[in-house]
Amino acid sequence: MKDIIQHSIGNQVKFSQLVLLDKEGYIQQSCKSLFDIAPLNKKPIQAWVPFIESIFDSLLLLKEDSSAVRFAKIEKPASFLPGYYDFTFTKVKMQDTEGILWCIYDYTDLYKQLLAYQQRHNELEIYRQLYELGNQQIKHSAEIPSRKNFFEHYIKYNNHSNQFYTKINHLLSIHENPFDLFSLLKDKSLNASTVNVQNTIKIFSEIQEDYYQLLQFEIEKNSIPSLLQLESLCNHVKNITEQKLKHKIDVSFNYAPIIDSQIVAHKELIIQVLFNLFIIFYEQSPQTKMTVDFSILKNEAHFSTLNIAITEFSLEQQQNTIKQPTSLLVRLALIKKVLQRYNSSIATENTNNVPLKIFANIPCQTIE
Amino acid sequence: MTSKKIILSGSFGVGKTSLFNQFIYNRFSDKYLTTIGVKVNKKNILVDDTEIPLLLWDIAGEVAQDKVPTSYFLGASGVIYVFDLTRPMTYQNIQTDINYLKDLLPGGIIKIVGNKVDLVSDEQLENIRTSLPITIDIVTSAKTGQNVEELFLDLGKELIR
Repeated sequence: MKDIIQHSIGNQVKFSQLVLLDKEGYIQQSCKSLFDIAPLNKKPIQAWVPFIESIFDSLLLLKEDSSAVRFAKIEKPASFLPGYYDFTFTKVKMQDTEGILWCIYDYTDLYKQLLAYQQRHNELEIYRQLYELGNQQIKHSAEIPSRKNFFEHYIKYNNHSNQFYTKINHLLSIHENPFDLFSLLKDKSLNASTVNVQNTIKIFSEIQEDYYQLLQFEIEKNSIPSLLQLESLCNHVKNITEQKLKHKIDVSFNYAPIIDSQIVAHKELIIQVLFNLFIIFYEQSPQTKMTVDFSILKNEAHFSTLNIAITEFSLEQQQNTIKQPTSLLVRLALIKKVLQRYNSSIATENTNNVPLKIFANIPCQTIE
Repeated sequence: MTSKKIILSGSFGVGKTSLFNQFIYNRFSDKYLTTIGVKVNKKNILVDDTEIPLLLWDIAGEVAQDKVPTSYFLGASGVIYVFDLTRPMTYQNIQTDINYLKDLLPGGIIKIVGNKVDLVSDEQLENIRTSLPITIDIVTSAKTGQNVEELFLDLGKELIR
């Protein structure tokens, strides 16, 4: 167990409780941070947690080198787990036998906020659908909201969204905020003058707004993207970017044709990087069309911009804030920071009179 | 008999949680409470002297089934696809959704359920039936309990078949 914890910490994995199960489902070890395992030892875990009972046979079929199977937003999975959790399951070797490592991530606070937001979102959408039915004068027995009710609902929704944003911002500052505003503000190269700091804050305010849009997108589509979904993911980010810019951008995506396995990647990371690259492309490049080349090599998702032409610039020369537009600096720094957090990398290539390329590598796992 | 995992799926607000609560706890609330992830509960049903433990997954509604995380379907024996008879948006993609589920769960049982039948007239129900490209297996009302028990008994029969 100690090795597992150290291994997990080494890989920057955060968890609330680790539980090691044997092949019958009995708890072998646990770090006991969320619940005491002593009362649970008499029966296999399936008897206490219906969620695990429903998938346990499938978990036993996992291979040791299989990637972890993740389930998000599990509501009250047992009496001793009364909140909202993410679970991951991994097949592990235990001395002369095998077992299942069950990682529990307690996201109760965060998911309660998401729930409240989703509640309003869904209510409004249901109202909208019924309202439109009313407008089309379709005979219907269901309750059709009046215009007054509809707008009252809409106002409530907006008010609630604002509260949600405030709360989520607070929660994200407690959890891992990928934008890491404060650490970036502490960056001496960006903190050179008051103006720069003010600009940075201003830009970050805009970025935060963008993040809320992305978060909403995350809420709507919380599934892990498969390669088949990747194109729609990229297009969705493109649409979000166009909404932000209030302008169309011409981006095409290339995918390696030989990829036939599903990819489990850091979806948020892909979104963040693409989103910022699109903004950079629109704001800085004289080119009118951008191509993003996407491929998977072993356990790494690799994408590069083929013809984003921005002024000569190196990520290592960020100190040169005078000559470079702040927006570009911050966005590139942001991409770099986010990628670093995921042990990912970014590089640029720029030769004389040749458009600058940006490469990003994102670790990912594939499912056979 | 080993327990069977069944997923309640469909768009949001169609009454999946209400069917779940009506079946498991015999209760119904008019208040809509959204589901953001997944909630699992267990209930045994008796079909032809065979007791079948059902592990029901009540999952967050999605406007299209390909948005549901595929890991949810791991080890599933069947899916109850629920739509709202009063909201055409919840069944406009029914053919695509069902095809997707059949591909994802080959050999699995898929029950197509029109819920909130208490809110539509016989004429409206007939119109919906004829307009759909696919046959509705059963219409239910989680509110009144109409056909809820029958839905799961039908499912149980197919599970032991």
